[in-house]
Amino acid sequence: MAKQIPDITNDELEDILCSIFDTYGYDFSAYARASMHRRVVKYMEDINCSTARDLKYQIINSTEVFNYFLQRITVNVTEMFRDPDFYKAMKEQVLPMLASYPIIKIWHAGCSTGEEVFSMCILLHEANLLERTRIYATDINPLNLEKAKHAIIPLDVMKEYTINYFKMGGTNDFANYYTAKYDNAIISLDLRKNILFSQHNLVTDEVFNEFQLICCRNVMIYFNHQLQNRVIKLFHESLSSFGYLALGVKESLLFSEMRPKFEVINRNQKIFRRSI
Amino acid sequence: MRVQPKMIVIGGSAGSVPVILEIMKAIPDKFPHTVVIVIHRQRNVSSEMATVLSIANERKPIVEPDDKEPIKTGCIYLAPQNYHLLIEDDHTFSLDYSEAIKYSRPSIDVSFESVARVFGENACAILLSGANSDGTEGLHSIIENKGTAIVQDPTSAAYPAMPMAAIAANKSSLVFKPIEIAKFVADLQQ
Amino acid sequence: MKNNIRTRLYVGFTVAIVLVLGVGIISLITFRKQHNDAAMIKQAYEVLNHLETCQKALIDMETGRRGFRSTNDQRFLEPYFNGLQSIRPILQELQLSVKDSQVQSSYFYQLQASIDDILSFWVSLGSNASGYTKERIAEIMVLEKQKMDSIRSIVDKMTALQNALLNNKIKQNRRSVTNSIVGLAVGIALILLIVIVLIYLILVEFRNRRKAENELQKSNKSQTSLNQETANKNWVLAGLAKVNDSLHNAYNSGELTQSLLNTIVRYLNVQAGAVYLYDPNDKRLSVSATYAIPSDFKRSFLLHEGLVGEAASKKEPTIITGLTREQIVFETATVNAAPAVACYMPLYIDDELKAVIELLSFEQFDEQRVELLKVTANNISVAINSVESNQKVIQLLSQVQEQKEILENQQEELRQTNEELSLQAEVLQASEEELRVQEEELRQINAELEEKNQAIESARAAVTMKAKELEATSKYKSEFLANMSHELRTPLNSVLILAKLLADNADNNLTEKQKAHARIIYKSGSDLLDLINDILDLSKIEAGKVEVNIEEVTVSNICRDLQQLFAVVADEKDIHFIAEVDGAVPKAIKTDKQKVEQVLKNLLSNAFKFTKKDGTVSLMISNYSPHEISFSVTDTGIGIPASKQKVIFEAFQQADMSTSRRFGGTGLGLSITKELVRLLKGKVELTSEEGKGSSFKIIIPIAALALTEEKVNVIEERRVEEIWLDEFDEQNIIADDRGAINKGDRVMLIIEDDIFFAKLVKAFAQERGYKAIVATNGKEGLMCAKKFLPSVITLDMNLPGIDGWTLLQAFKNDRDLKHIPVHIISAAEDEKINTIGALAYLQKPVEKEDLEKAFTLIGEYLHSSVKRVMVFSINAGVDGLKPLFDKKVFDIQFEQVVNLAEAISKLKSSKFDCLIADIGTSIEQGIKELQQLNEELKPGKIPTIIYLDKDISFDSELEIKKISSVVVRKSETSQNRLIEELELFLYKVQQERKQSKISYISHPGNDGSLEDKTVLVVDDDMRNVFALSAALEQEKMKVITASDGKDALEVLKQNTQVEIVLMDLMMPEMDGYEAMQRIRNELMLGKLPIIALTAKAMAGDREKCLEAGASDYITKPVNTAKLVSLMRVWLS
Repeated sequence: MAKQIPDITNDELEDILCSIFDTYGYDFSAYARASMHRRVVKYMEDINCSTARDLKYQIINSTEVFNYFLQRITVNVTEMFRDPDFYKAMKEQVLPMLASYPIIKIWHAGCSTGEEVFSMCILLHEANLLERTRIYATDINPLNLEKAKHAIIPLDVMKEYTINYFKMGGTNDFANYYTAKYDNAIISLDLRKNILFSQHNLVTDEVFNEFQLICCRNVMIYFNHQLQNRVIKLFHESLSSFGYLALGVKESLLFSEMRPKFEVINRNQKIFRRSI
Repeated sequence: MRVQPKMIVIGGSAGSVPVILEIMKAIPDKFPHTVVIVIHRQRNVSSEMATVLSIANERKPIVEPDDKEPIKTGCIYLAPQNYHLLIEDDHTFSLDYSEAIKYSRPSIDVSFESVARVFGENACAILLSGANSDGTEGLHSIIENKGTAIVQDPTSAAYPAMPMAAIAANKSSLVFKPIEIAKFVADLQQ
Repeated sequence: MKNNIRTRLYVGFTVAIVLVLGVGIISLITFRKQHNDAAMIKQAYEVLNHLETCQKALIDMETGRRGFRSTNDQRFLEPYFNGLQSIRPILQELQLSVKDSQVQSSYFYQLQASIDDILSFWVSLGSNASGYTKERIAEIMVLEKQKMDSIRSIVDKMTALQNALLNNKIKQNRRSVTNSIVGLAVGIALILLIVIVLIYLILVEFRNRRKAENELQKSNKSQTSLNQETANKNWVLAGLAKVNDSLHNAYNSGELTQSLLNTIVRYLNVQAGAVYLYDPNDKRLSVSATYAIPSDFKRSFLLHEGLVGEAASKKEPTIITGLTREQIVFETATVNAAPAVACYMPLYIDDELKAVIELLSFEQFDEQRVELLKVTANNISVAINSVESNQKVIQLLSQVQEQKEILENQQEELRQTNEELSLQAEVLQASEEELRVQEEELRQINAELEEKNQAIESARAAVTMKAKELEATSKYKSEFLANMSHELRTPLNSVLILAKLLADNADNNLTEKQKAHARIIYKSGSDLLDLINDILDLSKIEAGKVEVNIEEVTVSNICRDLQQLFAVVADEKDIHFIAEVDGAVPKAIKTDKQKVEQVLKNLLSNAFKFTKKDGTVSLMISNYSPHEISFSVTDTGIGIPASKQKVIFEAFQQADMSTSRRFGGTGLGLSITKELVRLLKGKVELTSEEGKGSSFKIIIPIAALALTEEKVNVIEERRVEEIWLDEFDEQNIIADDRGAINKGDRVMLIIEDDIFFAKLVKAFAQERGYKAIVATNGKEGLMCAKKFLPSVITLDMNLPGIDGWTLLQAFKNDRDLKHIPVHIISAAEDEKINTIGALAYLQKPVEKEDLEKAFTLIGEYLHSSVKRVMVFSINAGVDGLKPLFDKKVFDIQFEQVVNLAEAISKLKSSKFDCLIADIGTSIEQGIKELQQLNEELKPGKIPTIIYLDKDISFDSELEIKKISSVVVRKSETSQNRLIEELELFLYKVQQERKQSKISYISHPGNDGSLEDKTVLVVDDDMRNVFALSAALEQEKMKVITASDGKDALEVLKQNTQVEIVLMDLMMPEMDGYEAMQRIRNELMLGKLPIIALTAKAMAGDREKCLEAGASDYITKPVNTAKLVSLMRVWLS
């Protein structure tokens, strides 16, 4: 273990995040520290940067370095029909209720490269709701949004998604939802036509519409408690009465002060509904 | 003298479940330390691991923590499927859904490193059977931060690769058989 | 040996020389000593001599003096004076010669003193002797004689001593001489001896030398012959070296053999030669190199063919002499002679033939040459072999090289595939591992399940067995009881009859006491018989032996029969007995009349039993539900304590063990009742208060047509009820109205743990006509709420058990409870609670006035709680909402209207809380009519829910949303949603939903600069559109709206009067950025002010807006005052 592992103190990290805010306007100060620290150290390891000062210097002085940093520091892992039980619950408990809205607006906050948005589209399509649904898919990272707009997914992971789809209780031919070309699959345009991809930063940005469903899965785990509260408040304000909020299966409203303003629809799959 | 509460973090993969059960059985009722268990588990599959482990020690229910759940001393936690489990400075859990490390999520390395960072010398990492090299770097962090590093004796492991890799890279780790690990954990009470 | 001798000689000579030296030194020392001794002797003689001279001189002087004295003649004094002169030098000489001897020297000084004494004596006498008398002369004579004697004695002593010394010396001298002589003699003898030995040794050495010389001469001879041999060998070796040299630097066998042959021919000095290589494949020897061989000769031989072939088969060189011209010819330009000798050298490695060397010569082949050939043979064959293999190796190498390149290419491909594979393998490994863990988990679960299964299985088996046992026992018991009853009844019958006879005392022969005894026997016997009958009944029912006979039964008949039956008892006990049938009850019901009567008889007889004189027993028959009829038997008897109420239906149980003693009875009546009612598919309810009476209500189906085997278990149902109540401790500190609640009562649930305060609130409530129920902890509060469904709840926040906070959540999340207004009276923090749907909040401590206010509020709220909802079905034919009205929705009055005119008139004439507009599929018409409706109702607007049954476009959403924010589309769940939305409208504390948080405060200094200006608001967020429109309309602006960028472009094309645009950025179809660019570029509206609205707050976003063509920028949520000022700037 002779490898020199770079380390960075809390103060140094704070300082770097501060400088990033000053220079680029991205505010990471309220991100959960444990994960942020890990990712920054990992990044330093990969670019062979051993001190915090070097890192700061590089980031502040090059937009390209910063863009790469942003790409690495934000988590862009996603998959289609992740947590099949969640989609099952969506299908059984939420979509029937959404059907009573003439126009359905859904916000996917932190959509990353869009896989979960496409999953939702498939669900809506199968419930015959897609035509009257408008999905606003937002992410902090413009690169992710570019990818999401192209909707190109490698074929080998598509196999895994197919398995997830069936686990979720899908009964159609999953292959109908995409066109395979070479090693990639493109999600069919019909499914995607009502999606609007746009940049939105949950840390700083505000309410922009009223929604019947907000999906924000595994995004807030990267935020600290205060920021989580802010975001949930933002969601609350963005939800219509009886609007649904879906979080990651391990994200709880229990620790949020907004807890009383939601009722629980599915405790295990973390689906809530605005009650007040 | 009051016992300084320790954070015991157990990492295991293939072949580790029986050992963890043995450790669970050894944990006494009044246990002033926290236990976090990280096992490589399948994702997108419903798992009853928490229940299974609870059976071994019915007085100590095992919790899969939610994000930002405060750590309670004396509780036993199980890293949820498909998330890395980290610890914040304010002693709450933080989950992380980033890339799998060494093909694993939860990754033992990630949790070990995080525990080492927050708990320092009060961290005690136990690495069990498995067929990969996860945990090696994490154990290194534990040792660097003056924590206690324990590795299951490879001869007693159903899959010795993981403990062997860890021992090779971390000479100062203690090598125990399952029964000794159980005893060590039980003795932490005094 | 030589060395040895030399050493001996050296030693010998050295010893001899040393000895000679020793002898010399000894002699020298001896001579020196003798010389010294001689000197000493001479000195000794000198001393003696001097002494003598001295003495003589003194004697002469004495004589002289004596003569003088006697004669006084001066001439006699002459010897004296001579002596006087000579004595001093003599003494000096003497002193010198005795200086070596201390003794002598001391004697000398005595002598000198004595001489000086006599001399001075003589001098004192003077040189005149004339005056001397004879005495005088005699006196002098004596004195003189004395002095002379002392001198003489000293001299004698000295002489004697000197003589002794002399003798001693002489003796010594003689001894040392003797010693010297002996030493010399010994020395000489030794020297002689050594010389003799040396001579001998030298002689011996001489002899040896001579012998060695002879040997040397011999060996010199052999050395010479050896040298010759070495030269030969050297020749061979040099040859070998040359041959070896020739073998180097050759890379193919032709080159090699040629160079070899050249070397050999030259070195061996032969005339011609050739080398044949053997090819093991075709077993031939073929020429590979030639030297001076003509070209036309046979170039290849088989083994044993010709000389070459023959020679090859042997392993030794073959030499053939005397060859003739015919046999072989070789030519030169000058020589053409027959050779004399041919030599063939076959070359082998181990047993493998490699080649043959052929050499031809005119001279004889001497051994040396053959030897050389033999010696080099091996090297040559090895060289040939190695060159051959080398050639092979090179050939192979080139092939290998080629293949290697091919392989390398393949390898690269393989490596890539491998990498992919190993990556996949690792992924697989990881997932395999996860699978293993899963497997372990499953195994564990299985083990657990197995264990549980076994436990369940064994428990099930045990239960089955128990059930069987029970069944059997029960059957035995019932049979036994049935039989026993019979067996008992028979003798009992006789006992009874006989007792009766005795009691009647027909013969009148019994005393009164005896008659009384007989009556007691009869009475006890009758009781016993009753008991037996009851047991028999019960066991029959339990054993399933009782059949139910359903028939048409006239209710009034039952009533009449029972009235007649019990009228007597009533009269007897002075009890009022009322039996009534409710008018609504059907005339006839289908049931088992006998069983019903049995049950009612049981209950009535109990009632009469436990009711005292002047009490009342009533039988009321009434409808319980459309399908059920109830028979209530009520008494004013002793009542049943609550704790006993659940057990009295058990066999052999009564309210009190003492009861049977006081009132008689078997205690089986109620058990039988319960079982019979169960048979009739009915149930028994009991309400009772101790001391006041009990009421049993039998509820049975009106038409017990389908009586099946299904068991309706009264006890079971009761238990559920009991558990429900048992789950919390009902408070019994404060008496409340929970037992006295009638339908239509306004019930207030007071949840409060402060007993004093609770009583206060209760009194307040009761004063104001509420029925009050007090719960003192959270759990009780929740249970009471569910049980009594109160009209209003007052709630304390700090409660034991479930706290008020949680409780409120629970109420609001419960479909049945969510609409109940909750008034909080607590000491807890205000702010938090106001937001969560409570009706109002009262902070403790509370004054009386506060409480009155609170009650007034509650009263008002409840008074207005009956909500009127108008359902306006625009498409009259479709009545999709019909089921909604059938549903029991609390306190809502629905009124349906089917046309606009009716709706308007009704809305104008009376107050409605909400309008549900069912526009079905006729969206256009619906919107139009609703717009008209709103126009008519202006400025008041009624909360509206639009219900439709058709998809609408994104564009028409705006139109619809202008009328109502709640639009429900028909779907499976739309009914639920409609009710929820309705409830939200009607019951929840209406917090005015902040429309996108727009804060419209005031418009300071309204200078009218915005008046009549046209603004286009482009946003897809309806709330925002409405809020902005409202705010801008207040500024008297004309507002046009568009829902996305495309729409906005269209609007702008058609409405050239638009003076300013508010543009949202995040919109579907065409976002704000693109819309702005197009407005600038395509519509050429470069100067039209466009203010961008965005939810984004990051630094870069502003620039992006301005780049896209925005004139300015304002962030959401929009501060209207700020917006208005901004618009003024851009419009001025």
